[in-house]
Amino acid sequence: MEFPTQGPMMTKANGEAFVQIRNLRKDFPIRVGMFSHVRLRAVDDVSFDIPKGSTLGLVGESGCGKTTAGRCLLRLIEPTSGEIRMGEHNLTDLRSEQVAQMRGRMQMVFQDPGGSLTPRMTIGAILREPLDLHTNLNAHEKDQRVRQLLSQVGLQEDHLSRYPHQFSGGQQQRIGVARAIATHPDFIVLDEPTSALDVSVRGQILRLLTQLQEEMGLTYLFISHDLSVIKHTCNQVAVMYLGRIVEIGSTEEIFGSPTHPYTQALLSAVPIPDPTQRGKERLKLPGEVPSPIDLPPGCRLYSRCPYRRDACLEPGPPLLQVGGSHKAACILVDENIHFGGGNTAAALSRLDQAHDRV
Amino acid sequence: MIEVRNQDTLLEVRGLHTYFYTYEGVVKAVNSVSYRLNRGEITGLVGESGSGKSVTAQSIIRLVKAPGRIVEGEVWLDGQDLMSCSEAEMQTVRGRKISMIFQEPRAALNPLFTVGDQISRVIQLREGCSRSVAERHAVEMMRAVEIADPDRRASAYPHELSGGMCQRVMVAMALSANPLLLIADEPTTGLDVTVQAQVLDLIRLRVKSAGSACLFITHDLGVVAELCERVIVMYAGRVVEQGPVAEIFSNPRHPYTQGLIASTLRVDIDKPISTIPGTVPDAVHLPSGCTFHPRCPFAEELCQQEEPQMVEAGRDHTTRCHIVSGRIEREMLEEAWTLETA
Repeated sequence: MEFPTQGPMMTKANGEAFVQIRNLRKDFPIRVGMFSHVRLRAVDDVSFDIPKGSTLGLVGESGCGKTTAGRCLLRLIEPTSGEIRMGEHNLTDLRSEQVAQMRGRMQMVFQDPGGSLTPRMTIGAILREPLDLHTNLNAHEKDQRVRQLLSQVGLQEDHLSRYPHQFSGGQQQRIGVARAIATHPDFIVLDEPTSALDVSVRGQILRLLTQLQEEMGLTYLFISHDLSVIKHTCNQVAVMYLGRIVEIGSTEEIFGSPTHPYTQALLSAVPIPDPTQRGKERLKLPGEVPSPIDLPPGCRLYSRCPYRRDACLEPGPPLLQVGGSHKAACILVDENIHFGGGNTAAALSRLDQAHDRV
Repeated sequence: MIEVRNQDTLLEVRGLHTYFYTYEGVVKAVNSVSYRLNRGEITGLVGESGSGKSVTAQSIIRLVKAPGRIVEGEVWLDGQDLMSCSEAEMQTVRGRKISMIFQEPRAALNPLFTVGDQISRVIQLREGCSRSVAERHAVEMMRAVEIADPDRRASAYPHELSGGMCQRVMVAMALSANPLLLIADEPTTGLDVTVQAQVLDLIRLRVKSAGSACLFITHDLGVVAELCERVIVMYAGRVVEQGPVAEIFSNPRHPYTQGLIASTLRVDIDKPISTIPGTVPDAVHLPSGCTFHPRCPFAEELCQQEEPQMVEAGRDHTTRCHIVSGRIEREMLEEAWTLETA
């Protein structure tokens, strides 16, 4: 397989950042009235690294900017500012034709498996298309590669001449995955790949993704609103709220000792499939996510946060070190207060005590 | 029929069959389904897409769309036989005795009327009161479902409200009729988890305080564990297991229920990713015998040949499996679901 721009990408050592995002920002103009616009900052100063062969989970509720961030990374939409590096390449410097040449190395798997496959193309044609665009293989080699892809994702050869609607949701997503890995990419953005699937099938797709990652050394950005899926598939997790990363760290750090009030609330809102756990104390956030238009400079959670104070209205807060690779954007981290497992009352009283001492 | 009715039983469904007569063949969407709902209880109806959970709900209120038809079965609500009601009588049952909350609140609300209008119309129909009284009552209902600033929000159109807010309006509308039975069809699917927690709290509170019954349709076992007293598990049009929540989660007897619980990922504990092999069967060509046998790790020859009957599996706990009934002697090992580690 030949690529138009063959770099020293594959020789990168493990553990080193393969995908590097620095200060990524994306603004959308929103029309208000006939001539005026306001700015919607969908992604605000987002930075993270993903080491080669590992998975970073981007988690948050609808409208937090996680999908926009994922699309900016692949330059499917143009970021307003910031830097995106993949291996040796600075994607933000490339012209759009050069980005098009890079597409074989960075792919995406979409949320709606049926909607992301062309209904009038057979599976064979769908899988051959990326090979036509990004490789110099001859017809016979392409044919071989398509058959190999089918077996890699657990489909049969007689599926080649069928159309997308003849498959179940799980099988359609397998086709979506096969298409994404067709050109031997290095990096795949998985945008809610299992949200539309039934519970019993979801595990099959997650396993397939993990297995392919091991076989092909793939680097993933896993976008999801489902914390349980993130927990089981990712090495690192970044939690987003209204365009900003509010907490980032290893999966153990985020799930073991969530520090930002938003992460705590998000985790404690997830229903636990065990009736004996019912009635556990929860950190509840009142209200809903506010409109992302013209937000004030302070902490984005201010309007819903049970721990808020006046200092939270000042610009920022930056991501502060909690420990190891674990960072949280909350001024209370600085006050060195650890809220215990989503227990609002206890945390608040500890907070008040700490405040009295000051 | 009525003699055996438990005093707490509000709804009894007996031998319900709803079939869809499609071009490809007959789809037995609901196949011999029987269950009871008790007053003051929330019953979870779980299953994957195509298992017949929504059609079961549509059959209760007799709103099955063509080519679907209720072929057979009885539905008793508070002593009234709904299957022998005239269409006019059903009209008064819907809305007054049974209310429904749908999955997509925006699609279920009328985009041309304000939400206050839509709620007050329900109240006007039920109470026969004047419009201004109904409007005042509507604002109170919106306050009850914790909509901030209800006076102003009452004059908002559905598109001006968020998804969570629209779902609250649906809950307000469904509950303003003070129904005996509330049917909620995936009411929190598509809502964010923090908002989902709020809507679930609301449904729980209102059902308990009104002493009505609730049939809560969902595919999320987490929601069932948090909210429901009883569970009904459906697979390919049939009820495969039902019983009290604590019992079903601690001692699931049907292999499908076991697989479903095993494949549910949890945020609170680490465990390998388990899955049920294969896919949901084609609704027109269901497998012979037990419909779950092609995906069941414990299946034997009998499972292909003969359909299992519903048998007792514990106190108030029934299931449909040859192994539980003792027709097949075999142990169901939990390890069967954790074949590989992630």
